[in-house]
Amino acid sequence: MSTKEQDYKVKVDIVKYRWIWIGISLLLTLPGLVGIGLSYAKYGTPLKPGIDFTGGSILQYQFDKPVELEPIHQVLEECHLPGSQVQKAYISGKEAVVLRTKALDDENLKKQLDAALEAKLGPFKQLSIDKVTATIGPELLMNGLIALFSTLAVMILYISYRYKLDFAVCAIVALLHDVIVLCGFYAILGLVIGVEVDSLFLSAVLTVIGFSVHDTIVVFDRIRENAKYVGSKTKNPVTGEEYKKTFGDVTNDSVNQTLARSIYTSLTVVFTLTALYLWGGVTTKDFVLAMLVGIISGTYSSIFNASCLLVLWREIKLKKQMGKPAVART
Amino acid sequence: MASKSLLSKIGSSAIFRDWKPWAVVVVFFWSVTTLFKIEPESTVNHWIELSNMNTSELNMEIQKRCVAMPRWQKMNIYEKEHVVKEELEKAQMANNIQILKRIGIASLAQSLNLDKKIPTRYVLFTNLKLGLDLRGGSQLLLKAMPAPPQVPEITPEVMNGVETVINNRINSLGVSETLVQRAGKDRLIVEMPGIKDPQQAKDRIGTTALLEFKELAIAPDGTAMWKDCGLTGADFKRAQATAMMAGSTYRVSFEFKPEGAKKFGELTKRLVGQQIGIFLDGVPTERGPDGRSLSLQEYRGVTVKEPILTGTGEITGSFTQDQAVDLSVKLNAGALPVPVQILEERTVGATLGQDSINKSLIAGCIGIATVMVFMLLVYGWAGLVADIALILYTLATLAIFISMSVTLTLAGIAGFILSIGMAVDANILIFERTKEELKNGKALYSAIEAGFGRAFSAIFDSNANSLIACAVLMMFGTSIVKGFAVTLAIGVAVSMFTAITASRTMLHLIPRSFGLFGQKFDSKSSTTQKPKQKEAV
Repeated sequence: MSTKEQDYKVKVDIVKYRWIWIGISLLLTLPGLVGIGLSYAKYGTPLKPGIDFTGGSILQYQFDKPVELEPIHQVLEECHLPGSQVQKAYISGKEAVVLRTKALDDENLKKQLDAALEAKLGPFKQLSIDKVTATIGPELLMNGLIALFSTLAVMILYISYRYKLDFAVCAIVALLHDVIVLCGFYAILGLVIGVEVDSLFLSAVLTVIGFSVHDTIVVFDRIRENAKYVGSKTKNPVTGEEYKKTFGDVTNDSVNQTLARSIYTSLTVVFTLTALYLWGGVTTKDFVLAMLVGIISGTYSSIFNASCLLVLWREIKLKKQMGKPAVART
Repeated sequence: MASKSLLSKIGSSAIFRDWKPWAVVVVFFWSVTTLFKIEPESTVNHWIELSNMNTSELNMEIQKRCVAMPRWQKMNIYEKEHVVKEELEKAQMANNIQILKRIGIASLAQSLNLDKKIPTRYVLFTNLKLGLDLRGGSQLLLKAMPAPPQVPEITPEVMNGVETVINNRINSLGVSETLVQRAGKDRLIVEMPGIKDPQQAKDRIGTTALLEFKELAIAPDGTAMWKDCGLTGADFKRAQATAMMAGSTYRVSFEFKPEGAKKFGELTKRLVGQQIGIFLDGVPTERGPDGRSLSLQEYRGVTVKEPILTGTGEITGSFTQDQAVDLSVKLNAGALPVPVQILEERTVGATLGQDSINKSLIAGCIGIATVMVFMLLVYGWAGLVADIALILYTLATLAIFISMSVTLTLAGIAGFILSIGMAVDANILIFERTKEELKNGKALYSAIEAGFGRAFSAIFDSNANSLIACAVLMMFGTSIVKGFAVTLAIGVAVSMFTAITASRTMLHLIPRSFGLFGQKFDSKSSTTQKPKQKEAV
């Protein structure tokens, strides 16, 4: 049981190709970061905020007759709601119209709008009304961020307690990678096709965080278990040369031992989410897509980033320890 | 075997192994009986009938039924209250049930020659509590605004007052199952599932409804102005909308409390031949021909013909029936101590809600089915074990949702899906570990036990981490985030349970001749394995 490389043919070499893995991560996160930056320049926020954060109204109508968007724009102009967006959507196979306007604080304005729409386009069914005053947005965001950071803090504490501080920090860095990928993806979507983030997006981020850490812990658990083999003698399968196992070798083994599991587990979650994306309700689409992106990224980061960083951290620490006496001697 | 952990030692001792199959059976039956309910069709139809009534009809019906109970006369006041509450809950059942199937057993009853009195049609249903975003309805977030001179600050007492008034007004809407909830220091969340007209609700909630009587006075600059005379709607005993003789217009008649009646009597005695103005939230109650309230300049008030000492009176203002009813309701419910602002409104129409439920259900089933097929393909017989564990997991989690009356929202569903992932993950971890142990040459039984024991620390740590995160989210999160955290926490806890009990027990039940993870045990190794297995037991 001490030498497992015979059973586990090295499928991915974490240590040897670590700059490639980190490079891929950079390739994934950099466009996202650029997107976040551009979005910041354009909207003043990292992501295009929805009405939950800015205040405003989203109204969904289903008209009995098919409608064109142009007359709706006209009605909105007449009701003193210029700058409103109008989109078409499909709900239960029927066409629906989604209006995004500023917050309709005045009830009479809403009545006026409804009356004008009915007069121009015939009877309709109101599918949904979402109305948020501007005052509540910052508060919602603040609460979300407090929840987010306290979760991170508690996670660091728990992982440090069960493992070690460097494990905790690497897990959190891997997690931040996923959050950046997810937010970057949505920042770009916001810039390109105007996708807005709402408070459900926050739940998606939380889900991704939960999953990412869950995934990383499984890999770390294996590293912790295998850590006793650090320094044990082993043979290089190619040259037959004997050498002592480093932390990097053990990490490599551990990642490869858990590789099948990581991929299988992610696949099962991806299956459920894809089903929800393809066949689920229209209200959950964006939310499910966010989770899909985050979970795929989470799988990648827990396999390639978390352990990679851990090895780097340990190597740097080792070098420092080795380097100090050498400096003293010279 | 050198590093067999403490956990697996506990796991393989006889006492602990014995309870697991029983636990699985008990949980299974409990889940199924909690999740699925059967009642005669007539009972369910009756519930639906009750749920379609408005509040006053419902209260009358329940009162009627309670009085008809044989023990009613002997009950004390608490028992009576309890019975009424129970009946109300029954009446609200229909709002939360999802009918799965209607079953007819007429032919079966006939063939068995059963008593004809047994109902022949039954309804199979579940009663998961669905959030407004799934079933449709309206949610309002209200904020009490301080009104500086009298109420400079929102204190808990002020909020109590606001809550009571809002509650009264909402109840008067005749929508069943409304909920008014405090949130933070100055907020109220009002939930109205199944409301047909959210506009009406907002009209009724949003206004302060302070009715004031004012007398005409001359201001220092010589113009006429309305002056407070200390009499408000708070002095009313009750108000009622009544039709005017002329036809379609309505008035609101009112009756003062004794003290108010005295004040009103004195006021009218003093002002005979002069005008009294009636104002609602500072606006005259009188309406012009266009249906809008008159402006202060136009308003002339009511001329007092003679002193009114009976303490009754009426507000005439060319109201429509709706307006008169609305005003009388507000007057009966009392004025809000401070104005409220609607911060947030979310209304999901019944169509959209139904669409969300149906599609989520279908998609959820497809998703779980795909996962099950995947597990079967990857792990063979062990995959079947995982699938059965997954079914048990799903049933148990949903049953806990019901028994803890967790409200399932979209975010909650997300938490549930994630926990499904984690439940499957537990199985995958165990299987992968067992596979390794088998490859290392362990016997089947000890491989399963060792695989389980070794996987357990990973399962435990990752799930404990998720649970801790959930606890934090429940403390700090907003309602959406809380919904997510609750379902995830329940799911994670149940997944630990099913992994420990169901998966493990059932793995042992797989006949050895079927093999496990591609390893066969019926051939050459079987002889060497038997003694080993005994040793492990």
